[in-house]
Amino acid sequence: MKIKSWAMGIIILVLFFGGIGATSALNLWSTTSTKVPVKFTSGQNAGSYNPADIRGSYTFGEVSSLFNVPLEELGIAFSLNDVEDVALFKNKDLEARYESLKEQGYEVGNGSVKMFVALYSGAPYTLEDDTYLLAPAVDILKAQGTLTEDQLKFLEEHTVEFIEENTKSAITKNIEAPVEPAKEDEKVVKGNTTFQEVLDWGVSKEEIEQALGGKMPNPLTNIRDFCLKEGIEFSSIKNTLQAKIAP
Amino acid sequence: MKKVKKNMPRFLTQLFFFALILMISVNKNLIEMGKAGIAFLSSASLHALCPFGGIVSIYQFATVGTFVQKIHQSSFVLMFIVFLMAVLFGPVFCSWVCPLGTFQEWLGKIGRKIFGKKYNKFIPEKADKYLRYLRYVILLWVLYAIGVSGKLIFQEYDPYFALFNFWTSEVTVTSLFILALTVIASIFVERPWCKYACPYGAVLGLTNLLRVFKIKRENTTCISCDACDRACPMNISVSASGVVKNHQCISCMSCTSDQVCPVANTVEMTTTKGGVTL
Repeated sequence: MKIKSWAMGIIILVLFFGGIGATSALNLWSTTSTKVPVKFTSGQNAGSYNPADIRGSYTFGEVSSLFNVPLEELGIAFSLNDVEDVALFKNKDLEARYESLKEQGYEVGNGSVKMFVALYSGAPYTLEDDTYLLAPAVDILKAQGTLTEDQLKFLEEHTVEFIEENTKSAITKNIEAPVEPAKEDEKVVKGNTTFQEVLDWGVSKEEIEQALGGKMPNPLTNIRDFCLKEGIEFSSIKNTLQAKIAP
Repeated sequence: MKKVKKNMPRFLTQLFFFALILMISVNKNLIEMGKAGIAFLSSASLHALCPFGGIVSIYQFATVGTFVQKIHQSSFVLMFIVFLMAVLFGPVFCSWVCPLGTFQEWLGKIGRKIFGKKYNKFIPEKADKYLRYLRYVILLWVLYAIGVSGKLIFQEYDPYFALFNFWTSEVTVTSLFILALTVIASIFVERPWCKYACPYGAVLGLTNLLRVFKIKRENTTCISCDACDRACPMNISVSASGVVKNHQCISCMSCTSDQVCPVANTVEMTTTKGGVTL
């Protein structure tokens, strides 16, 4: 049997698109991560999605539908008034949008979305010191009237005001000294850090297992994913491991 | 005797995939900027559409059950499709589909115009012979580095990603430098990245040893004009082979009687027995 050029061209196209079509029909073709956050397994929020598992790749539309936060309020909270389609805006793009704030040490990014959604929906969430919210987001949360005293105090210290016309001189109000944002190559435990990275940064397996209170999984496992799966508070593990990492 | 003709089916297939990947990349960026994008087109990341992502994820998938960061199920699907094609026809992905290969080939046309017959013959044979194995060293390094870190480390060096994302902040200076080197080298050497550095080409090249449809030369009708040798972008000496089993063959079919060989039914991609492996 011989193959000529025209036949080869057709075979390639058929195999490629036939394969993609067949796997799509079988629900095996996916070009993005599964966007289903983990659920709380206990407490009064059992069965509802955990805001701590919101990823940077989620769009505001997805966050809105998964956590029942009106899209309009999300847009106002993060000052996306100039964005053509807020539903398509990705959480991870907040960092670039508010780069001038980040340069000053006040990071508004995916962590801010998690915090806003958690406080908006009343879900349990450990507030993290290096996360800030824009003033409109805080106004929305305050207007709901459901925040605790501690949460209100925390927000007073973690509110940042962004002036669009003059991004370089974005001003802040009522805030503590900012937490320095992590650079790419810095040894900072983040949402996408694996156990292997922590090992590489000089923390021993025993120390990690001590922090986890149990056996460490395969080193390539993402720490946050593991914590969420096991029902462990990621932020406390993160802080414990961070403290063990040599500066 | 036949007149040499352009491989139009291959050219059209290459053009199609190059344009498709370019448009998907632009579409993704438009959507990320909050624009509407092109409705009928995918906005997937290039990582999700690269079959090599499947290869580098095998270890993590087998041990942890997850993909390497930025890699998705689609990469696995494409990996299997390309592997099936390679087992049947050899590395046709490299010569018919890969947009970086196409890009180098188009640049090579400039080099061919400038240097004429000297084009693609600048590297001394002795050095070239060993340099061709460099891509296996790179492959082993990539598999090791990604295997232990679980991160898509190769993105920092990948000229393919840089080519279709050079306008974004995701591209590193190193990958842009490697892309620039590839562009310059393509003026002197045909497909330099494919020949010396591509880790995916290294994997697919191995299928030349076992592929079902092989490039075969019929010794009884061959007139030893060496047209097949001159046409081969990978500098394989087809005229000295009965069956081409060289790990560098990319199945472009340029050497066949369908294209450059002046004698009908002499160099062909076929399953029929015959030819002597040299």
